[in-house]
Amino acid sequence: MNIIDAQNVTYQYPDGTKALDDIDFSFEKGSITAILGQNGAGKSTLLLHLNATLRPINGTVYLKGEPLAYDKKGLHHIRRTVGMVFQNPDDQLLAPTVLQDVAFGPKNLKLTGAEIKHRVDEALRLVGMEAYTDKPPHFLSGGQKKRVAIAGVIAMQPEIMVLDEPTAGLDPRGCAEIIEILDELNADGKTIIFSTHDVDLAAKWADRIYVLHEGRIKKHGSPPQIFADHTMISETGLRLPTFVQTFRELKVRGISGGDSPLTMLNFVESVSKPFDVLKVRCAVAGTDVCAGEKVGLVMKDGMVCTTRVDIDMNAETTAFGRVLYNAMAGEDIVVGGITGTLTQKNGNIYIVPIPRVIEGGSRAVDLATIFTIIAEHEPLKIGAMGTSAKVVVRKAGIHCDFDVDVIQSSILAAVRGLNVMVFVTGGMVDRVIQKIECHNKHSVQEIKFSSVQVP
Amino acid sequence: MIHSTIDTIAHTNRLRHIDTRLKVIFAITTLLITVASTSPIPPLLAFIIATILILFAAKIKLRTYLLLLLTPLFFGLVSLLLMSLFFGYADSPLYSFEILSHTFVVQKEGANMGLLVASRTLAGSACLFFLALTTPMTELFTGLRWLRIPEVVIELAMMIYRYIFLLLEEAERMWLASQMRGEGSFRTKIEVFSMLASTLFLRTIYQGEKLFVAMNSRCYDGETNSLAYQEKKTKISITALFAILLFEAVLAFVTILTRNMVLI
Repeated sequence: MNIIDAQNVTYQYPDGTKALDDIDFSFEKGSITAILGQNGAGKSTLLLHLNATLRPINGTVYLKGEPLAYDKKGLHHIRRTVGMVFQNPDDQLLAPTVLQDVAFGPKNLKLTGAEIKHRVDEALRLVGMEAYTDKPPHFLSGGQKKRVAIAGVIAMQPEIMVLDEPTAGLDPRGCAEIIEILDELNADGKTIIFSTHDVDLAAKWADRIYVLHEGRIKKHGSPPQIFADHTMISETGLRLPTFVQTFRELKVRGISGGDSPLTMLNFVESVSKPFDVLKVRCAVAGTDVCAGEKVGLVMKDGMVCTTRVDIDMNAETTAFGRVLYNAMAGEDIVVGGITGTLTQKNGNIYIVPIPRVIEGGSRAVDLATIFTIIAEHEPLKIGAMGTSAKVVVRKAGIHCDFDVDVIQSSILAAVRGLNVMVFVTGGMVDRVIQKIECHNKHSVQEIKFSSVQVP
Repeated sequence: MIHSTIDTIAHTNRLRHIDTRLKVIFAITTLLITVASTSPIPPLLAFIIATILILFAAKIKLRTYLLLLLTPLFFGLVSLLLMSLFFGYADSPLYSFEILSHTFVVQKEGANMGLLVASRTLAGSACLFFLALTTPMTELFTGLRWLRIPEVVIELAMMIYRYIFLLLEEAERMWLASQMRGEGSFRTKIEVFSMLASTLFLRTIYQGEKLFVAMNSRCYDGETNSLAYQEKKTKISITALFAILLFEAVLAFVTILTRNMVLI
């Protein structure tokens, strides 16, 4: 179902510049859509039509099937449904303290004091800024200001969040954190529409992309569809995502093949041989290999790799290491004169759901049980995804290996044979499972995953 | 920048968490009594007390405080000098001296009036510095609201406070940028300054427009007291209030006792 539709929208600035020229667009409920285009393409102008700040001189914008009404009552309704986060947080943060700024929207909605307090608390906890309530905005960093600006919009509980260049001017970590917050909101059902000229971000994060060029829509579709059209991309002043570019160069050299990858995970899979863990069953009893000893493994085709042997003389010899040998599972190999069978062994991903902020968040979790779960499964890497999961991990004092790009990092680690435990905030669990299943469908290396419930 | 320094101190000093209303009551009442006094003794007393509070209770660095005090001190001394020379009757000279064959006479009444003005200046400044250095602006707004200052005034003050820092940053950036592109003659410097000032003014208007769009996007209708949100409702400590009132009573009593008393 489309939550926003627009037909024949044309907009001309008072000085005569035609910013939008007869364009149609529609955004699906619950989706993430990127408006991609170079500077001056009309991205911001388009976004300002979504909350009726600008009124098209021709054409109509529909919100849930109803044409936008530009009278006072209509505007109030539109703006509480469509939340707008501006590019520069300084344009948006107007109150002397963080708390008062986040309360600005709810106050305008004329909510009761208790409801305002509830919403403000929740919004600030969701963006992880609850410790800064009394700070004036000029004491905050750029990333923190951005998070407060987002909290100010979240507190109004809009169904649609529109963000103009959400990652502009932020450091890599700040970017990743903002994207994760938005991901969490999306998992809770909010529709996200954002403008950007960052092709890598659009490629890995958006469900759909609109490419805007000189006020017109050049193309729209899913990221693979968009980035398959190389001519269009260069015509519109954009570039291909880094992974696509690299992949193309490797492909013409015959190093990789298949579909063009859009994320690091796809890319790694398209160019690398699977990582294997060898399990060598000793064919000859009483070999002279000892536990912990470094041995050279000689493969059938003569390739050698060095690895440390973790040995249990009675049963199986397990050697961890990268095997420079293109063997499939079940194939017989010769290891240092010992004949063995290569078995594929990937790591497990244990998913631990943590209640969302609105369900009590980290406060609803008994930290002691977290340690029990970790002790029980002995994961080698730990990740945390979403605000309350991160808070739980921090409160428990657990070292977190993955706190940005969690799903991708976890899958890559599992492929390497490591067991990973990810603490995932409520609504995002489905997304994690979906991504792993998607990986399993496309990859030869299947990853096992299981949910571990916190009692 | 001294502005941000004061703001930082206000957020970090030792008296930060004392109820704002107490600090406002102390500063304003002391200021009023000082201004009403006809003798320099109560203002000097108030100055000493405020200084002690600033330096020892709030633990503000002596250097910072002296730097701030320099301005009122300068004005106080200038008015003391001028008043003692040009005010008063000719029959009560205290001291006279000659510069370039012109005789200057320091008059008694003039000297006393100058002392009164100088002491009031110092005391008044110290009271306001006390408030400015110990209370963040954000909490001062709460205090103002409690004093029933109209909401429109407070909301405007809040936005001015918020955007004054952006304006300062912008001005600093523009000034630096102009400096980096070389120094010119005095004439070009004046031209550059006028250009910077007008650009800054235009940017202010532009910023105002953007702010208005952002406010509208969050359902601002101009009717609600949108910035009036306060979470904390604290109670005034009765003991502290009593102590302040006692101090003010003593100060008022001293003021009455020393009515028209002169030092010289």
